Order: sequence, then C-alpha cells, then structure tokens
Amino acid sequence: MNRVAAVAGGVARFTRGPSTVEESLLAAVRELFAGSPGIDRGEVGAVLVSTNDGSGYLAAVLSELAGMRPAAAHTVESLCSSGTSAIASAAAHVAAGLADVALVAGADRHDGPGQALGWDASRGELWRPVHWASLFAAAYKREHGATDGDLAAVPVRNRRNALDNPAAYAGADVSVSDVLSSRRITGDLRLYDCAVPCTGSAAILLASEGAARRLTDAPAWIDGIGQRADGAGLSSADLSRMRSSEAAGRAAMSMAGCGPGDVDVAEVHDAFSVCEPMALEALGMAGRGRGAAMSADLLATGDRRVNPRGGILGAGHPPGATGVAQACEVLAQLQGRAGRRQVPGARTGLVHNMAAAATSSTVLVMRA
Amino acid sequence: MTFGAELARGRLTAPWCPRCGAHAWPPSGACGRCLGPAELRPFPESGAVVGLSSDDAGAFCLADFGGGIRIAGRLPPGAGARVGMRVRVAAAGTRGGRPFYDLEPAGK
Repeated sequence: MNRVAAVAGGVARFTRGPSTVEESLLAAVRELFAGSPGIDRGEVGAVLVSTNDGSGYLAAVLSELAGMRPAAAHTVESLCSSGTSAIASAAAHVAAGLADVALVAGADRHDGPGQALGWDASRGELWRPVHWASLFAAAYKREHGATDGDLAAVPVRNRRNALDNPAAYAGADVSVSDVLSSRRITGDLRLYDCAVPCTGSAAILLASEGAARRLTDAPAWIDGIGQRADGAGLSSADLSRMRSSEAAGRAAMSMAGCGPGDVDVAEVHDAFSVCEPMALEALGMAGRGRGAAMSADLLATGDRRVNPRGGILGAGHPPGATGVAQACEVLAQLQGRAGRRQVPGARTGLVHNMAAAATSSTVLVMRA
Repeated sequence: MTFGAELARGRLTAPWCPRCGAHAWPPSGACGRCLGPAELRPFPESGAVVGLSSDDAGAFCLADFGGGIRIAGRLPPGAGARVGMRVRVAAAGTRGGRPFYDLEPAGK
C-alpha cells in the first residue's frame, strides 16, 4: 500500500451566515488552494464530500464548481464523524492506488439535519444530543466524583483557545463561574457546556508519498487510522466511557506504532464538556476517571496540546466540516504554521472524532 | 403489524426472533443476530434505571429491560428517581410522529 500524507488544508470561517452548503464547500476549497498556490487542481483524482446536508450529488457539484474532473467523486455521511470518516476513505483510495491525490471537503449548515439521529425509536422523545450528553455527564460525575466545576474547565479552555483561531465561531474569554452561571439546559448541562451549531466548511488534500514529496516540503503522514462502529442506538452506548473510541484509538496507535504518551497535540471531540475527559480517557491520554483533572490541569498551565483550535466547543460544530477542520489543525501544528496556537515541537498529532453518543468513532494518527 | 404501528396505537411491544431467541432492538422487523423475521412480543414487565438526568419537563432516564432492550423515557415528579430503581412502562405511544415512553416506579 502507498503511504499517505496530508499536504494542504483550508478552513473557511465558521458563521451563522446564509451560505448554502455548496457555497461553503467551495469556500473551503478556495482557502486550501489559495494557501498552496503551487498545487494544480488537475492532479486531484478523487473528491470526497463530507456532509449531512442531504443535497444530492455534492461531490460532483463541488468538482464542477472548482474546475476539477476527478475519477471518483462521492459523498460520505456519518453524522458528527463524517469528516474523519471521509478522510479515512480518501486515505484508503490513495493507499490503494485508486488516486494519487484526493481532496476531502466537509460542510454543513447551522440548521442542517446532521445534529441528531432520528432513526432510533428507543430514544423516544429524548432523541436530541443534549439528552444523551446529559446522561453522559450525570453518569461521569456519579462514577468518578467529578463536579460541574471540574467539567467547566473544558469550555473555559477551549473557548479561550478559539480566540486565536480566525475560523472559529464561538471563541470567548469565559471563566468557570461564567460557565456555572450560564443558562441551565438540563440538570447536568449548561449553555456553555454545549457546542454551537453553525455553518462552516473545511478541506484537506491527501497525497501518495511520491506526490506528497513533490507538492510540499512539510507533509503530515497519516500513519494510523482506527475506526469502530458499535451500533447506532442509545442501547449500544456506555454512559460513562467511549468504548468505540477506545477501540478506534487502539487500532490507530497500533497501526502507527505509537502510544498515547507519544501524542504531542490532539484534537478530540468535545461537542459537550463531558466528552473531552471521556475522550482523553478512551485514548489512554488520561487514566480512567482522570480526564476531567487533566482538562483542568491543561487550563491551569496554559497547555494547548489538547484542542488548540478551540475544539468543537470553541470553533463551533458544522458536523460535516468538524472532522476535516480537526485534521487541518493537526496538519498546521505538524507543519509548524499554527501561529499563536502552535504547540512547540509538535511531531505526532492525533484526531479523534465520534458520532451519536460515541456509538462510532474514528481516530487518525499523523506525524511530521 | 409493525412495532411503529402498534406504538402509534399506544401499545409498546418488543420485536423478538423466534429462530434464535434474540430481541431485535432498537426496534426492527428483522433480527440483528440471524437476520430472521422478528415477531412482536409483550414488552418486559419491568426494568432498571441505568442513567438519569433531568430537564425543564422533569426527570428522564435510560432504563434497561434486559435482553438488550433499553429505552429512554420520562419519570413522574416525586418518583424518587435514582440509578438502580426498578421501573415499568406507564404509557407509551407517539406524539407529533415521535415515540414517547412514560415510566413509573415498578412497585407503584
């Protein structure tokens, strides 16, 4: 199999604006190629669009809008983890030799249908993400003795990190007391604990080893990919741990030949505050029940190695774009061009993304 | 009759596979284990609360009824909701096209 690298990325500003999903996809692709003017769009052999929008034929539409004629053009949908799922599929295309260069573009609108899973009848009227997230938060606190104040470190840090991300929608200088006094959404979630739906897009270009070395002098090798789908219904979920993320993380790190201690920078799925500590634990970056303490330590020390772009809480959450934007951030970090967000000396990066109460997950390990 | 059609008439059932004895859950017309056709069986009498939270409308929970069957439903005010509490389905049906499950303490 061919080795695969990410060679360029572009993120269009996340907003609540009126852009259509087609316009958003094109905006991210324009950002990507504007930042890498030496790359010829004619080299793109596969275009994968990541979205939950429901509009038909979007990869072919984007190809036409951006003046590309790839061999393959299709759409990947996997709710919140659509973007990383599309990257995994694009990497497989390149690794198998079906394309030498593959473009992944993800986008969704703030009012799109990808925020929740309507199929699962077992969720009854409690089908919105705040319901499973509230059950997660309650279970995590009960099992590990964590408090709302412990979990509040997550939105405080990630919204502050997002202030240095020009593409972020929800950056803010908030305090723990701001979080704890924000509007109560459920008994276990407040307003600042919840990601903000927004319109946004991101694009990333993958290439085979030969093409990558020609297209950039700073490729980020995708050395590990792990995925796991344990089901879709809430019956498949464990309320205090992300079992699919545990499996995906193990698979990705095994493929890359590394462990959690080797990760210099990570973007992990934090659509709700409790998700970050659960993800850190699932990935082995924090011990069981120690994820909230790790998030608090990162805040206290100003350490940006987790969610430097602001995560989902700080950047906003257009589901089809989220995984691609996470990977763009890790690419920028490994290329040393993340500006004020830069984690010094980052050589190994990780992207974690999950969907629908962590019933499925994708993890990428990337290396400079 | 399907699970959805029965639920729309206020009757909660548990799709079950006569070939291999597994429940088809979340509700489905086919068994996820052997892909055989599922038939509707009575819903289990009682289950246990495994997750609990609340919102403006009151307490809600995830309850485990065994055999892989879990439902998310609401608990009435003053039910003394707690994890581990035995519950049963007090009412089920559809509102605005979506399912709902109202639970109550099983000892009531």
